[in-house]
Amino acid sequence: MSKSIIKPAFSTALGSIKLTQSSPEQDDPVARQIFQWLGRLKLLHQVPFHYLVPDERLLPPETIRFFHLDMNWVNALADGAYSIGRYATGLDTQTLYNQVEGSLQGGLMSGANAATRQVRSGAFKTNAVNDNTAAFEVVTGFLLRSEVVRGWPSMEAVAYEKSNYPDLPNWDGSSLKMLRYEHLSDEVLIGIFEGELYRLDLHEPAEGLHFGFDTDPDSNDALEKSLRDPNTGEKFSPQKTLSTQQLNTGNIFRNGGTASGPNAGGQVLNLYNLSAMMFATLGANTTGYVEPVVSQLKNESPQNVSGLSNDANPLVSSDFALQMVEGVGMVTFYNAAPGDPVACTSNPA
Amino acid sequence: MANNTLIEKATFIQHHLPGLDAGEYAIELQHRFGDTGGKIPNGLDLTTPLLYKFAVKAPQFAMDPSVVHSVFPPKDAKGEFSNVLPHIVLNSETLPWIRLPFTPANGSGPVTDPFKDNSGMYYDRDMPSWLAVLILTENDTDLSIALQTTTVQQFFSNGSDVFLSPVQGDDPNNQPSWVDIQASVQALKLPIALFSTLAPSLADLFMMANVRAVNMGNKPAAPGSDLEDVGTYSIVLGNRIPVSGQRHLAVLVSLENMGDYLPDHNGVPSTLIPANATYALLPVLHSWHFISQGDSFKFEHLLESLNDRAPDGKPAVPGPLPQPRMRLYPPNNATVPVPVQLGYVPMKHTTRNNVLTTSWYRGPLAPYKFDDNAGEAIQFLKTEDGQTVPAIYDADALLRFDPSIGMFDLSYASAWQLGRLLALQDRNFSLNLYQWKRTQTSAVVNQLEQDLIQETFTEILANQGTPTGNTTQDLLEGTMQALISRTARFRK
Repeated sequence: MSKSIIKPAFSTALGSIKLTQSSPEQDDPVARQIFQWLGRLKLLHQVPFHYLVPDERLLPPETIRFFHLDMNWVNALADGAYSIGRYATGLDTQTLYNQVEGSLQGGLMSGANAATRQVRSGAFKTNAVNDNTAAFEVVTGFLLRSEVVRGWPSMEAVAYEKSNYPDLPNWDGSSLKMLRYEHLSDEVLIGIFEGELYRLDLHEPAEGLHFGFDTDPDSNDALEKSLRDPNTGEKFSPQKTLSTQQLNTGNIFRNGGTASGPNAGGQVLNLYNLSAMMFATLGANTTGYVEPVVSQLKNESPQNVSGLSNDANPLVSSDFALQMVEGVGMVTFYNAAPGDPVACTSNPA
Repeated sequence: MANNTLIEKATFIQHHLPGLDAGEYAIELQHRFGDTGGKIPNGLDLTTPLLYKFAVKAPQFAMDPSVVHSVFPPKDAKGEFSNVLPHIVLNSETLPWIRLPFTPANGSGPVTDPFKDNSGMYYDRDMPSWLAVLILTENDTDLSIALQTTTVQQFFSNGSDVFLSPVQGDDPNNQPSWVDIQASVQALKLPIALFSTLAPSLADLFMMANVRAVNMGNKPAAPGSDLEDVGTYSIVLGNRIPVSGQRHLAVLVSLENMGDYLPDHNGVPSTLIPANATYALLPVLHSWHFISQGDSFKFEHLLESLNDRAPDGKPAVPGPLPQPRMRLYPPNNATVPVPVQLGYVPMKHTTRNNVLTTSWYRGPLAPYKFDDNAGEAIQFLKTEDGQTVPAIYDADALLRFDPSIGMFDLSYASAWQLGRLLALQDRNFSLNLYQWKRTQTSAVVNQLEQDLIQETFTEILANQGTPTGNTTQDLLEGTMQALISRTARFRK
């Protein structure tokens, strides 16, 4: 935990009172709560959305916007919160209260800085400690408003700075420190990073990968399915594919349905048969596990086994899921579009 | 790159079987005494049994919506879904297996012993899920009336033409105490033929749920949400491909105990369903609509299309992202004033003296990088006579005025005022802060008093017996006056 209480040191003569900022002391739980509250506030927690986006045209539907966090604004916000009980009589700010407050303020804001860096890790059980109390220099981020947020609410974000990102030969494997990444609503995400964001990678979330078929654009979008190597998770090269023809004749679709476009829609699938077909096609590439479901079913629910061959064993459900997911999507944004009139400079062109 | 992330970030797992299935359990505990000489007569070697009862609770007729992590296609989404299988992601990793689809009266129940393959490796056997996602289209039925609101009691008896899954004991009045038979729940009522066309076979259910373990490090997280580094989710997938141009209803239904009544793999109804039943009534745990129509709804496509960019390799590599910054972009790239380029927005502003004017405002998200060295940083402390004191005493101190166009900039004043209001609104924080400041101040005052008294008494002691110095009385009076004038107001 960061250093917490800041004890003012002072020396008195009968006349003036001198207050100087002094070294913080350990572990005052009240001070720690104040740090944490201010730490979150500095990442704009609780700030109403219309203070962030005062005009809807700043963030219309289906947009992503990159920003630099205005630390003046953030510090004004924090100073306002800290100002409770602060007052001045006329022009006299030299009250003892104000002197004490002034002597505490620097240390308090340092503690809040460390707390700000800890907000993100505090969302995890491991809660890695961060006691870096340095003031924030460059803080950047993005706002994303899109249907994609609703569709993949837990999409993953990684940000890199200009001198250090994956395509560079000297990339050291690191990325910018994520300070905040959170939903502001069902369709708005905010990401805030310490450092200057140059490249943003948005990854399709692994648990939200959806299941589906490939389509053949040359054949009316008929369905087919290219298979993955169960040992690596990657698609086979050269491809191993369940062709439209195979799908049509393999009793995959109920009631004689077919995978041929454009009539595949609305078909109900026999997922068990599909899994068994994958098993047969993968052959020696499977992990060696044969699930004796049919014989098991005979035991449990005989009327369900009619029409299934004893040999038609499927993949295990996890291997089947691996085959059924489509590729993992990733989209990269570079935050310095050429021709942008105010690309990261305070001098408007 | 994309495939690497798949390997690194996701683990596909067959299932996560709960230690105990949902239901009521009893433990009986009895102590048996033994000795070698046979001195304890039969019948006296046992204590009175103690009976402990407990239950594993799990959703049955309804489910807390917070269990749902996400659904695909998303709720109310519109896009081309004609090659995907809809699915639902659940936060509870054991839920699809906490109940069983087997009909208890028949067969011998699930086989649970591990399976050994030819190489001698042991595996878990797959377990079928009791949950399934059914997909209905407008062609199947009137989607607006497919779901009914009913009570739990209706799953126990509902007239001879409605087929119900056998529920434990089938007596609504003899259910565990937490089953509220009057509770309002959702149900899906389908003709038997349609039910059998859409429902998976028991064999299919083996393939329809799995678990995925994923790294949470780069995912959105609310502060204090207490996440694991690796999150595990269960996933239940549907068995039907959506139809282009149609509205769909996806329903997560319970198939608990339904094994014998599920269709075979050709959708032929089970012969065990009573002949007089025309409808099946299923408990609905979650449902959502989507429309399969229009543009692709793929992750990459949607992201590449942001900001009206041309996606999907037209041209092959998407061009630069238009309008990337946090500012207003006028139509047709019209010229705008410098403040607008810097992210400011004109706002209606009622001043203190009730004059309506227009002022600039910009939130904390600016479209460009600040240069603190150029004096753009605001100081929140100032130094007077060697004393550090706060610089801002009210929000107006942060109002800024641009004389060239005669407009105020409210940004920082708004921020300061907002911070103050947020602090006051949070009673816990404001009390904490007030108390803390008070403690700090009184520590200073205490020390100040101590020092004054110390100095005075040192002087009194030094002056003892010296007639020319101040009298003790004078010194004490002076000290008291200093104490009163300097610190008394902090003692209120």
